[in-house]
Amino acid sequence: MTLSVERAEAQFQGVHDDLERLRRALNSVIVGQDELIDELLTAVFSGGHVLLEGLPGLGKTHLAKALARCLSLQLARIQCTPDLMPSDITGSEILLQDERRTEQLGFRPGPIFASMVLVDEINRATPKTQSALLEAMQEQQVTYAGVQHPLPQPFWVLATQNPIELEGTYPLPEAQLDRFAMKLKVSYPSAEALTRLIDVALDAEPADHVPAQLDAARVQDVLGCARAVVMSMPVKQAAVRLITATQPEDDDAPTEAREHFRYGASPRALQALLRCARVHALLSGRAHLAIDDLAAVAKPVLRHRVLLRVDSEIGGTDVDQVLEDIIRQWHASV
Amino acid sequence: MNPSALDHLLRAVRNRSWRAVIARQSHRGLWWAGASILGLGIVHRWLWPVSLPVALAVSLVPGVALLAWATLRGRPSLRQCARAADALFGGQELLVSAYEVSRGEQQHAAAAGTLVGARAATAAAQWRERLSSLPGVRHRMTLPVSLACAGVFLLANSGALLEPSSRTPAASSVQAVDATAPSLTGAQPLAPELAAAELRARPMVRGDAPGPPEDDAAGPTPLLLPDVLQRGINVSSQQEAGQLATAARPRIRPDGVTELPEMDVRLIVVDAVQTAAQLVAGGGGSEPDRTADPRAALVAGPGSRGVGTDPNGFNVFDPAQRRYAAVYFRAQAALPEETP
Repeated sequence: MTLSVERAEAQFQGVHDDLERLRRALNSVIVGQDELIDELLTAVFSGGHVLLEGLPGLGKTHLAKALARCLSLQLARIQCTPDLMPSDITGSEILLQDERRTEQLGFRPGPIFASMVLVDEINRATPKTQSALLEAMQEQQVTYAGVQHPLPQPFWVLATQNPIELEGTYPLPEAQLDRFAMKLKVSYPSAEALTRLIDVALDAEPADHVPAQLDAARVQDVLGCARAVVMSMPVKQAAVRLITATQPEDDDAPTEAREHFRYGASPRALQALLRCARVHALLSGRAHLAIDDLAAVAKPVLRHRVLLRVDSEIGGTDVDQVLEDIIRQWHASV
Repeated sequence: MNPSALDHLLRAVRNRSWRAVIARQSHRGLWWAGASILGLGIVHRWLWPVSLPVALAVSLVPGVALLAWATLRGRPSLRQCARAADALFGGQELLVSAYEVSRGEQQHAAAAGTLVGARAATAAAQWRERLSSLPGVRHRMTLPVSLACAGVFLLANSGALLEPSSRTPAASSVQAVDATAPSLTGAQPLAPELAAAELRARPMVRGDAPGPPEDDAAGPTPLLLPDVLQRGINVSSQQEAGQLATAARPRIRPDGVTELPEMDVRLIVVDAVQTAAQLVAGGGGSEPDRTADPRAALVAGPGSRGVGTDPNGFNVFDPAQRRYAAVYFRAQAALPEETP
């Protein structure tokens, strides 16, 4: 029993140390985005996809690149434009010649067949192209000409979008948004962070040179360790209560949800919430899930899964503010 | 993992929580009892008579029910105790997770479960010491107890609570008799219910069983509670009152000693009251001529132990005995004169 405890302690402590090391490495190259990096690690090690939203020049693409390098993962980049076709993402069949010069159709995998796919400016792609990502993100496979092609494991999609440029963009449908574990808002760094950025990234791109922190096997270990975090029944019940609190038709929904939300979070949101909370617990050095973990990850998990009412949207209601109120009330009640 | 440390902590928390629940419910019951007794006392004193069973039921039953509920159903489960301890010590769901692991509810997470159990055991040992040093919840009892005392005072100073039948129609008829009867003592008319309460509260009984009249030389005999008088209070008609009083009418023997042969008790009151009234009116220091008035033997006879005390121990200066005598006399006064 003692040996088992020591082994478990060493296992979880090792994972915690790995995550800490990863966090420090990313913080060293992406300056002034500590909270964003924590949330990104949480989402990634929960096995979920991430939607990064922010103005140009805030380091979204660099962050994705640095993360892929730190995790020793193959990164594929897709720059979305209105003329981008689904086959440009998934791949297509082309005429191939074998050694005997016999020609036959063969599937040529697209950029989606990478462990980490950076889909830049995803809202510039047409809905048809965006929908090509749906199957890949949810089922980790691509079906082409009736044949299913599994994607490499682990598999992540990091998508970015610009919130202010509306011309020539196609907002992501709710079904697609729901497939992102987290939607992270990239904000301006502080003046102090900007000053430090000058020293770090004036003449070079540090994200391109950050050393690998974990290998692929260790990444799988961390993912498995996150899945092993203990979830007690009160925490599960609290998570369910938080999800139902965002649903305006629920009897126990708070006033804010009834006033501002047209649709609340889905059961998939509950899964994402608990998965992300488990990683947050690991990052906090715990092997069990706490309600505080749920509260910490709730906003980025839920903000793209609730739909504002038209009048609230016209009135300029901030989803984050409404969610904060709901989360605060929920946290006080559990 | 040391399950006993966690188990001990959870059981300690449960005992503490259970005691707190019982104390809280008892406090609520006490508040209810105090408030209700006070309310009933006010009602009883100034508005409407309240019987003792009703007073007891209203004031005590809810409190007893709350206490019973707290005792039987207020015992928290160990899972609830784990949550409470987590909240108390900032455990961030460590104890409830470890509790579920110990119950085999987290089998999919063997390594993590082992680690959580070990961490919970370590924390539980520390938290148990902190738990024992935490002060318990104290409930202020002064105000509800004061309310209850005030209510009891109001209730106890109203006779009808102790004798509910005195507020019956029978009592009313006696009161009617009272109103028509002359007051020989010159004192204010005494409410029958007050007299009855006085009799019950401070009975002049010095013996258990009624017996035949005894010789005066035998010394002081028990002065027994006259049930005939009690029935006189409760009579439903004036005729019935007359019959009862006839049965209780004293006879004066040639030697001057009053005798009540029909009754099982020595009811030597009527003339004693009259005599006592004369004594009181005479200034207390001057005594009437006992030999001239045979009733004086009632006031100070052989074996007398002081002014106003008859051989049977009847003291006319005792307010309770005087009230008792007055009630009897009023019943007797309502009778027609006996023809020899």
